[in-house]
Amino acid sequence: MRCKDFKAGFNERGLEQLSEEELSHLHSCSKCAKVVSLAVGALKKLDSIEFPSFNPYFPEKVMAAISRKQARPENTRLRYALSFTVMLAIIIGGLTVYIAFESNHHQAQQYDLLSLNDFPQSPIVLDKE
Amino acid sequence: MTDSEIIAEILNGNETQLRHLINKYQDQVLRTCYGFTQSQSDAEDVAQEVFIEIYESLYSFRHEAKFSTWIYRIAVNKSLNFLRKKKRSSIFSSIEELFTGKSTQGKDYADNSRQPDDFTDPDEDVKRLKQALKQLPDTQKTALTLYTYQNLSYKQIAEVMSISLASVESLIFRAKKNLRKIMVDNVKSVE
Repeated sequence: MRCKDFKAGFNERGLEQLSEEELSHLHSCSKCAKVVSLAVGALKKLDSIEFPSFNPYFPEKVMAAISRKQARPENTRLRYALSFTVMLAIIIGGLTVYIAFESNHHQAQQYDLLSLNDFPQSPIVLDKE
Repeated sequence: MTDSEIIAEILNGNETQLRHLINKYQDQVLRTCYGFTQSQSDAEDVAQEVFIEIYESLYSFRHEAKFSTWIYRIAVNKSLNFLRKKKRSSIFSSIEELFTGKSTQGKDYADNSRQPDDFTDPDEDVKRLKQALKQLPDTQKTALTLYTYQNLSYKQIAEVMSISLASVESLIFRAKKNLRKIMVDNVKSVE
């Protein structure tokens, strides 16, 4: 049996349901035995999980955070109002500049229309009275 | 005092009852968050967010589910969001590293798989298990965390996750199978 096949079987069914052939491979292959022992050892830790000791002042920390958050809304509202005003000023300023530019641009275009190309090719004959 | 009475008191502005609520449920929330984050300081940060969320949405609690189930739901959602944010920021920092050529996480000097406050488990098996747990899909991670870290029954997990009992059984079975596969693959990659 190849190590690849053994590992596939182990992944699929676990240690308890290995076939005879897979078991004999496990006893004869040191590499697979090592992989299985590491995986099984780590999985066993699932049944005996230890928790770290958490901050004993955790409730105080949360209470302080809630108080801070409660104090914040007025500041937040002020900030929103301020940013809204700034945005509005930028939009109005932008529109003003755009409109001013557009009207100047139109005048310039009209002036451009009077280029030499627009004059008739034939010489202008002035009528003699 | 029942949970409903505590909630009513808090909604009336009783801060002492809020503190009482935090004391009552802190272990449940901290342990759930630790199950997801695998780090003490991260678990405390997420748990704090959980209690703030509980406080802010207490008025919307309809008493349709048990209060503890509702708290578990908030803790699970906050923890999963935290992990997603962390994953996103690590992607950004690796992109930054790629462009700047500088290590933003001190990768060159420290063991990246360990958290700064991860001094409680020098045990290699625990470290391997934590790494594998992080790689599980969200639903499997949630079911397994509630099962192993909280010792919840399949029925309670089904209520928290709003799924059927059969789905919980299947999720836990697949989570264990995936853990085995991830660990075998990790051992292979170490070799």
